[in-house]
Amino acid sequence: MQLIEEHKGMLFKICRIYQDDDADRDDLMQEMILQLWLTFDSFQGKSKFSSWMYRVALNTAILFFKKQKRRPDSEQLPEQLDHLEAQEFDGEKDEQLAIFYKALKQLNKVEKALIFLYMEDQPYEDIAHNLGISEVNVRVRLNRTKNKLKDIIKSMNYEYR
Amino acid sequence: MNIDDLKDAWKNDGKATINSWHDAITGKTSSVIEKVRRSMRNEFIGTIISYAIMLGYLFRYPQAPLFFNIGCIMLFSLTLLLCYYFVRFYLFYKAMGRYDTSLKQSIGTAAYELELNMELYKSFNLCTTPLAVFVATGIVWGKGASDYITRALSSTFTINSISIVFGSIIIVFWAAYFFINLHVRLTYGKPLKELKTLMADLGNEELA
Repeated sequence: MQLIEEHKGMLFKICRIYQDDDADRDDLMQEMILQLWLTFDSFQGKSKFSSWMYRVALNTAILFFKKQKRRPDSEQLPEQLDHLEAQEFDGEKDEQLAIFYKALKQLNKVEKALIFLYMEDQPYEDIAHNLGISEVNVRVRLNRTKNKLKDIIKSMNYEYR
Repeated sequence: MNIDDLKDAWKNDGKATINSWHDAITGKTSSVIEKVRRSMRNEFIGTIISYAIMLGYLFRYPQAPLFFNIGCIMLFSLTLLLCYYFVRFYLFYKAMGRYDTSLKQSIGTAAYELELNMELYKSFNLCTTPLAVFVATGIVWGKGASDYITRALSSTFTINSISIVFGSIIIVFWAAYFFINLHVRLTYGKPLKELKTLMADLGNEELA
């Protein structure tokens, strides 16, 4: 538990990328912790704990399906959250990060995983190992995803270099 | 803005608070695998309850000996079928859901397990539901059904009686098949489709 606690920031970011509202994020966080707890025996210490944790947490997030729920105000919720998110940030970089998170929501699940691992400074070899694809494929997909992200951010009327 | 310039801000982000580890470990979750597990548990509990009701009816209310004997034989056959399927479900339930392999492998396994379970579930229901419907209707209907079935089985079959018997069997099987397929498609169809799309995307090495 102490090891998971040390890397909780990673879990938080995965929840933020993969789920839109607070209730779904809480559910996903709970699911990831549960899976880390259940599969801990499979961690043999051959790789870094964080690498193993990336794999389990991302797999859980991608295989996680929202509960079937209907709320009367569900249509307005994303907008309200965006507003709240914008308020939480101060400084140029933090504002840019908020826009970045918003843009990430338009990517598919695998593209999100690629960008997440890239932002976490994972080497191409580890990304390929975690996703189960070749290193060359990782490079090509990453370039395409970055370009897609660039287009999304530009379409939101923000500058991208 | 540039993605690489955001890495420092990204690293500083993520000040999460995990309120209760206990809640996280013991809480109900909504992964597709957990959903299948919950359905299996509910099916098992539902079967036990319906068995208790059927046995109660069978022994509490008077039946003609012939029907009582046929009812017991059918119930025993149903029990054997249920035992076979529940053992299969239990083994499947224990083996499913690995999250510590690569993403491609995890998705592939989850999609395979989900599809296999859907087919197993369909065949389970198709084998047991019509039999259970006949046994339950006969038992709950009581003496009236008992007398009617006894009379029908002891007399010579006519075109009409054969049509009624075979027609009822076909209708019950068709209804079971239709509703099971609908239920399975509505419950697991969407997650399975999404898993297959992801699998196809990850398997497409030609992208490189």
